[in-house]
Amino acid sequence: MAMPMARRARVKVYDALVRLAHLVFIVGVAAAWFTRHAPGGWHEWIGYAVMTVLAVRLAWGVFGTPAARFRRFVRGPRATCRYARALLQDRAPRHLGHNPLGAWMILALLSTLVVIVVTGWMFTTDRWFGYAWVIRSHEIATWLLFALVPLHVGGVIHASRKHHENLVASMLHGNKPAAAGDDILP
Amino acid sequence: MILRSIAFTAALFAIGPVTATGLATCDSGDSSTWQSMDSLKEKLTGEGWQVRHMKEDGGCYEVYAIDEKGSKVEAYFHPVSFERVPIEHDAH
Repeated sequence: MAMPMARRARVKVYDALVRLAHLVFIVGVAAAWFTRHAPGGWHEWIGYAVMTVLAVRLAWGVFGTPAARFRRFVRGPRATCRYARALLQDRAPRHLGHNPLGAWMILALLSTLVVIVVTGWMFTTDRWFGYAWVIRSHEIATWLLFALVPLHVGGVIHASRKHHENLVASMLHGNKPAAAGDDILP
Repeated sequence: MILRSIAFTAALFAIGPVTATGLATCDSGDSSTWQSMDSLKEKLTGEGWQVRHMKEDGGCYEVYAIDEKGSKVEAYFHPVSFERVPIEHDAH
């Protein structure tokens, strides 16, 4: 049996860039939502900030630390289904980094965010301003993001409970109880 | 703790500013008295506008276009008189 979580050493899993980007996405999306009809260009500037951080985060997903790198945590459909089945049977292994379902959620959230910032930016250009489909895509992607977020948070809470750790706090300070037993390293 | 903060955030979004998208309203009466959207488009195109999207909003016709000076405009027009309705702020 693996060592209890409270007695395990704590290791740094998520680096500062991952955590900061995550925070910028939360604050940025909320701020953009509340300023969507506000005068003064706030919505646009928030959008540019999120777009910049998003670009950096995507690059970091290729060149960054192990827990940040997509290739290290995104699994194929078969391995992901296997994990999902294990999860339903309440025997999913603990992943020190993102688990396979969490990984696909991250890809879904990030790509939805890409659609939102790109269509938002398009609307500020003379070339793409005003077209109904650009506005529609911006809106639909936003609602999709708002549908995904509760699922993401639900998954985080579920994994936190199952493996007796606080994943929300880990995404803030970056540390997690070290891997032990059958835990899977990033 | 986690659940409570999530519930709080969700509530914040739910009670968030319920601003109407409309930047203007028109006292334009029954829509049977309105001129058609197509004729507004024709008029604006004749004035050098490049109309990208039109819709009804707050009893007005809302138009997204590039105007004759090449600027991006979101403009409101009265559907009976085709008079331009001033809006709270310029689009972006």
